[in-house]
Amino acid sequence: MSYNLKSAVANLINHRVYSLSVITTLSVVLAALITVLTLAYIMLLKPLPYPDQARLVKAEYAQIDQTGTLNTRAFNYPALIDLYKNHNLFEQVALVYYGEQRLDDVAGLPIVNTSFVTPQWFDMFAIKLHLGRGFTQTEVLDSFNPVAVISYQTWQNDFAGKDNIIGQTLSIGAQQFKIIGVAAADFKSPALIKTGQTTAVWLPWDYNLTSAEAKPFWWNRYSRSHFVAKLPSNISLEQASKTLSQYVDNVWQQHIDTEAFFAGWHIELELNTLQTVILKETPQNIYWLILAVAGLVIIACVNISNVFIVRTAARKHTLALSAALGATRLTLFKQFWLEVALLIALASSIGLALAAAFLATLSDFAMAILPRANELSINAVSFLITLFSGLILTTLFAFLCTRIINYQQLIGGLKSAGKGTAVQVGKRVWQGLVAFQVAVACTLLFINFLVFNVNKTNIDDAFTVPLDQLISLEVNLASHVAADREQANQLLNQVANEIALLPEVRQVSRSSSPINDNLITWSLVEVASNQSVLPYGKSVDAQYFSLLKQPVLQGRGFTNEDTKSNTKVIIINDVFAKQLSPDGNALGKRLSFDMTSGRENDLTIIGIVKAMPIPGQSKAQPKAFLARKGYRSFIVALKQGQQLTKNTLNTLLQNSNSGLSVHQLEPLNAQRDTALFRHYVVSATTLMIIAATIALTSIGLIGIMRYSVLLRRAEIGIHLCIGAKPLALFLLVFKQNGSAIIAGIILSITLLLTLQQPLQFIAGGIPQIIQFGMLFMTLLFVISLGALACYLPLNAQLKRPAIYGVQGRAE
Amino acid sequence: MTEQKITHPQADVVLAMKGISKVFETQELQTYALRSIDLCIYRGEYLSISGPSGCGKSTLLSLLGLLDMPTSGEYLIEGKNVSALSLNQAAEIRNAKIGFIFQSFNLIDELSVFDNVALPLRYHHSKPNKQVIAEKVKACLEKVGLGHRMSHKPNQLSGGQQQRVAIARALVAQPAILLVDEPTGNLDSKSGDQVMQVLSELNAAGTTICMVTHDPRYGDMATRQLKLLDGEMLGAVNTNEALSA
Repeated sequence: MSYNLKSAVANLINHRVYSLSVITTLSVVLAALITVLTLAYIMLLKPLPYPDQARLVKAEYAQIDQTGTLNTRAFNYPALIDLYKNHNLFEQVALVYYGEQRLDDVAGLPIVNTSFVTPQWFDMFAIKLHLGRGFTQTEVLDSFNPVAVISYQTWQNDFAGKDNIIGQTLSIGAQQFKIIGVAAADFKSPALIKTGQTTAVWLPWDYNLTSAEAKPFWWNRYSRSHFVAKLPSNISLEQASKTLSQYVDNVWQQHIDTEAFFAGWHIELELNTLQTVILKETPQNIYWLILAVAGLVIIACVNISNVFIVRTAARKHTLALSAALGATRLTLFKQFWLEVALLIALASSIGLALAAAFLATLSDFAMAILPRANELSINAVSFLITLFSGLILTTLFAFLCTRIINYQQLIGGLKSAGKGTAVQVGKRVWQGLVAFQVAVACTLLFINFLVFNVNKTNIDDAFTVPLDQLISLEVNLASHVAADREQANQLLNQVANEIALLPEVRQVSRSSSPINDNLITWSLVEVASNQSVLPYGKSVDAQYFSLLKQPVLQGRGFTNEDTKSNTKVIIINDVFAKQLSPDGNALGKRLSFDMTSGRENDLTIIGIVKAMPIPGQSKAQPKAFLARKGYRSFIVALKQGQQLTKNTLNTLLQNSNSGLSVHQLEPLNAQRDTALFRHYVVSATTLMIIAATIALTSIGLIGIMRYSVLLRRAEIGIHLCIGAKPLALFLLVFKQNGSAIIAGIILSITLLLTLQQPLQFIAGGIPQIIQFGMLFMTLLFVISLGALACYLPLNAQLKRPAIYGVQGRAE
Repeated sequence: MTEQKITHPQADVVLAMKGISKVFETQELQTYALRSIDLCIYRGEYLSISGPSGCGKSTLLSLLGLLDMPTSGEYLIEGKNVSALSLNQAAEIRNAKIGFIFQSFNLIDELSVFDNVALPLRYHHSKPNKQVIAEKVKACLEKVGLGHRMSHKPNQLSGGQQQRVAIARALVAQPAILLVDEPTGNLDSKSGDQVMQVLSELNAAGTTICMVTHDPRYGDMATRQLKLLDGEMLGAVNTNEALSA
């Protein structure tokens, strides 16, 4: 054993290029494999860090219209409270309302994420406390006990980790809350609505920000309130959903029976496991990543097999000597196994280190797009994956090396000084290698080109108007300022005028940024046809369209008079216009929020603007605009080359009123980039996979063809002797490998046809003709790669005198 | 062995070498395989070049057949300087002017006898049609007594038969010269004799032959014999004289 080990080490050291090429290729591919499988384990298999996590569910209040189509998912406040009080089914229930609020008595007035929760929230998610206590019976519904629990990070960052934090007060809005607890540092908030979402302060449910007007309303289109429950172990999701759907629908119908708009509508209570809610569409992405990495591993394995084949062929004399001196086939296998194991152990160690670095990077930078990113790190499963894949690869390669040896001929090989065909790969084997490599490469390249194309289209199409020099400003109002809405509105009007007078500023709009719109749909009825329509809605002022350079295709934009006197006019985008009138000419049509309120309240369509796909969405949605000034949101257009700092604006706001401050100041371009971050990451990942596939396939095909040309060196020499020109020889070699390339292409097309359904899902709106074009280009590219792989080793032989090929034969 | 007196007119010179040297170089060593070779081969003659193993016979034959390039010197085929040709030009000349016969036959195992023989015609610049190819191949195979073996694969033939197929392939494009490298080296004496008989008959019919051999018995069958020793031609002809004669 020690002799074998010494000889294996010596062998690897003496053939550094061979060792290095195997280690480099394998370590990169193993790093990708370990990263993706660890990711898959954490996302798909690892239980959430909450007790009875498999039984935790989130309820969705699905509103189904008269056609049976899902209209929206949003709890209305009374239905939510009713279900909380009267469910009679769940083992435990909890409510949460997510807010963003300013800590008024903390230096720097930080805006933090708040969660208004019922006391069960603390039990359900087993929130460990670093200090103090969580919510209990003293914070039950309608107890109105003003207490707060803060996160460990908030305690450290905003309260400097003071020991006497418990009992201190926290001013949020107009309310003072007494801090009763600090959550443990390692507590991970469940991200129910947004990936990467965290909570800084937990407050009792009673103080949630639902307006007094909304609290008795039995319909609404979006909500920040959510319902989480623990299912009893003997009831399935479907059973619970069915039972509760009947209950919530009955209750809802009793309260909306006077609303004509909802005639024929019904409610379904959808229940989704917390794992599904938190992961969102991540599992599909993980499956594709596993597929892509599996493809890369296969290509890399084919490449390395080729390296091992050539290396074994080069060692035939030594092997013949060993065989002559009594080494059995098993002895040779052990020798190969040890040598391969050493290489793979080294590659695995490097791969594991690289994977640790990848996972740490993902954990830091992909919080916003990757659920459970904060749990990403190398763990016991990663070690098991490394060990398992290492053992499989070692055995596979050692078996391959032994398999290509013709042991009988090897023994006789010494008689001819090691020459002959004792170590050779059959035509079928290398043709199989070529076909396999081509198939995997074509499939991987096509899928990744498709994914890249979809993402690129989304990026290119998302809000294409020029966003340079545009910034979004959100102003924060202290509670005493916000108390009188009318007065606050006038104050903000004055602020808008003052901002417009700044030397850096070209124009100001009292509208919210189009990038981060809360996509709220409006329930409208087209008056002439009495047809219900549900476009996304947005209130904008007269400056909005000109400031954003959003083209008005028909009619006109809003005037200051429209916003000032709330004129009964509406502007829609061209997508909505086509929905109202197939020829897109919807000017003059009337829309109503409430058909019973009289025709004088109808809104007349006065303009049609070009639709702008929202960043992160694949296509433009129907949208309507009302002439209403925004409240605390502004879009500021700066003069060319000018900048506006938060300090300048804060000074301006404080001078107007000490209760005003900058909540958020962000260039629209940056908002667009943030909204498209997921698309950028997917594009970058697909590009990396494409590059890796091309690199590995090129290396692999060139390696296999080189060996193929080497085997046919004599034949090529003969053709040269009788006058074959280089082009004829290239065609000869290409033809010899053509059947393998065609077999690979057929295999790839078969694979792609098998995957047609998920591929169509990915392809989204890409027309089939373009998809065929992409497939054609992919196949053409791989064939060209094959041609290049044939040409390069042939060219190397042609550069040598023709006689060498024939002499090789004569040896 | 001295060079025979040259009486051929210049137009009859098929191949001519002037001061041809071939040096193999490694980082530390320069080895002269051939040193200042002067050589003329005349149309219709049967030249044999002999010498001990390692004297440079095969290297000389490679240079003659444009399978390798000389380090220095001038080489003419039918009066045309071929010392520095592109890959394509060299391939064309090999195809049209030179026929090769090797010790190890060098037939392509996957192809039938017919296809092996037809190969030079398929690479010919005139691109003859199938019928012409078939006629020429058949004629050549019949010339070497193998007209009945056209559809066989090389490994279904004896060594002697394989070498005769190689001769047919060398002849099929009607080259100016046959370059023959130890044609009997891999054959038993009976088969060797048969092959040599075929070569003699071809020469008698006008084919120019240059043969490398170390077997004096077969060397004597040539009309002119030269000897190589340590890369130098013994009793070599003055090519300038020959060309200007």
